[in-house]
Amino acid sequence: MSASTAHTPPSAGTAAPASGTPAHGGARPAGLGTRLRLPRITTLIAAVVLGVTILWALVPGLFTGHNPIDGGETASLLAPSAEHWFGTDQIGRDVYSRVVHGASRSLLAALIAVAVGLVVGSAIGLIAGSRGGWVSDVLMRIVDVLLSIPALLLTLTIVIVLGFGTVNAAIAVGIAAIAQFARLARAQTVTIMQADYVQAAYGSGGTYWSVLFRHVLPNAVSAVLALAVLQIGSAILQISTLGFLGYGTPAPAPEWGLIIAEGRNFVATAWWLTVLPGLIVMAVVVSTHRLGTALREAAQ
Amino acid sequence: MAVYLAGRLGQALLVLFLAYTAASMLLMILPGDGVLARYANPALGLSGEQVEAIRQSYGADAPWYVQYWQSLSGFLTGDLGYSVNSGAAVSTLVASALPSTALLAVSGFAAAVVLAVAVAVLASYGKPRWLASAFDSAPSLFISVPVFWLGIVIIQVLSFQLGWVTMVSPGPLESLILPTLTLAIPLSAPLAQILIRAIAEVRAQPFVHVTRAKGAGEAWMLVHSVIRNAMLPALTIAGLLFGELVAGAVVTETVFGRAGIGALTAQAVANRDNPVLLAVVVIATVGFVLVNLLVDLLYPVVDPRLRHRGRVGAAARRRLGARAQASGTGPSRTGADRADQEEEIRA
Repeated sequence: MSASTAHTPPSAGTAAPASGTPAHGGARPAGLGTRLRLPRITTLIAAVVLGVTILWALVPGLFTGHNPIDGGETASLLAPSAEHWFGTDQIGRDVYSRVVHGASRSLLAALIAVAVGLVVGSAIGLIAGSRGGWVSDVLMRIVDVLLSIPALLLTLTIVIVLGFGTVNAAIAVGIAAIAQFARLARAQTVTIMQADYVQAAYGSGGTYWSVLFRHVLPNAVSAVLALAVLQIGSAILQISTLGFLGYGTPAPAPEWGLIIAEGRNFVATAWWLTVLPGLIVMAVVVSTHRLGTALREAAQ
Repeated sequence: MAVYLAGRLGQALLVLFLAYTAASMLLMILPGDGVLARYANPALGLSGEQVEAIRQSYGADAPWYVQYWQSLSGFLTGDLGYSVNSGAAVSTLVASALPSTALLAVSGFAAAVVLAVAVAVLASYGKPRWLASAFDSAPSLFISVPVFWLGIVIIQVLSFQLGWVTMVSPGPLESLILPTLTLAIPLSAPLAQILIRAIAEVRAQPFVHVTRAKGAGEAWMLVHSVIRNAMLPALTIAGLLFGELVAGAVVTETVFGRAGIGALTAQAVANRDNPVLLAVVVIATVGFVLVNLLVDLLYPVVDPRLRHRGRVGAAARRRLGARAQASGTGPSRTGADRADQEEEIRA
């Protein structure tokens, strides 16, 4: 998002940006997309940020030698230095190490959440879009109900039923995302079902399920996957919010929301404990949004 | 029109009823006997008969369908049950928490509108160009900020570093400033995106040149054309903004230690106080469904093209929904919108 990268090449701006139901996007005034499409370099930066974060999650030992859970003899509340990039917290743990080790938990939770939303939502959307009739009515009424409860409250309701913890928080966030996937998948399916090749597939002896899996699913999948990437960012945000409120990962395990919650009591004297981990979360979320948008544009 | 109104109202009521049923199943029926779980705790030293008496007084010994029916009729008459944690009537808790949250929501929303207009104007007309580009990407940053973190940083910078606002026993107005700012920033993002698009769209229209040739200034254009253009997409995301307000209130009130519905919600979850959470969920859902109903009824008022529910209107509305989705602010959440989508696809 740096200012020096902000000049949009004219050629990049001619394609209209994503419409919600890409298969039948209407005509839009040309040139409107120019402002909205950030230059490619930001996509590249976003990919690098995400790549590093994934490496943090997979091989945290490569990036830090400090123990994220036990600070040992280290002094508490040290300012950032070459030894401790993000300083140390109230019991002498290296905060950078906690953020690096927390990546696996936060990313895994986001993936679980998106997987729940993607699988359940797409299934509902596919069936509702291809069946019609009372099946569709019932399924879409369920989606309406999911949509009618404000997302955070729906998440909290499910968390209170399932109990606190990383995986439970992730499932709750995923259930709150089902409706969005279901609506997109249904819109895609309804469009695809009208296509000539689907009629032809039926005509040449295809059954409902064979047509669904061989023709409808593959054609609907790219738009749904693009939404999934976009959703990873908001899932990370929501899971860290649950962690901050104390409903997610229990201490002392490192989780991004929890790290920020632990640092907030020292914000007057040791601002880095809160500010630096928060900036990391923000960078990761912005990057997934950027990549998701780029993917969606590519999927059109 | 009357048929449409009645149908839309019926649909809203059905969704409300189903949402209530789902929430009460999850929070009341499924967890089993919350009263027993709490009072059978040996540390309390209650005898079996005492626990039984408490269960009877809460109605927890009745079969689930009786409980469901009692709670449903209670909600319809304003009796929201009793907090398992404090024993206070939930309706009292909610009534005492609501004014503070309503105030925060109103001031947060107003600040978000001001902020969104400022960002959109600077992104569209800012000089030099890098400044405009910086503001252009501000909305995508704003929606990526963890709100709880933003609140802490705002306290740190504005209160501890600069000393502009005190955190120690502030007045009622002073205590509202920082939470309002915290709530407004993420809320302004989708609004700013809509405004930036509306300005770009208006500037690309041929009539702009004519109007300008007739001597209209940029400010006149903004006020007269952009507002009309931005109105519909802004209405489309009204439901989304309401959801953001609710979520923002929970987090903001927790960070700033303000009393209110959000703080009540956070406490209810921490203490597993299911009746309180159920009441908050139901009230927020009623608000959400009402907002969406209102938006649906306002569409034809705001846009004459939508007064005839034919193809043109459907197409226009679908585009609006698609646009809200394209900006990463989620799809519009109205039932009519979906019906139109389908209608257009079939046509």
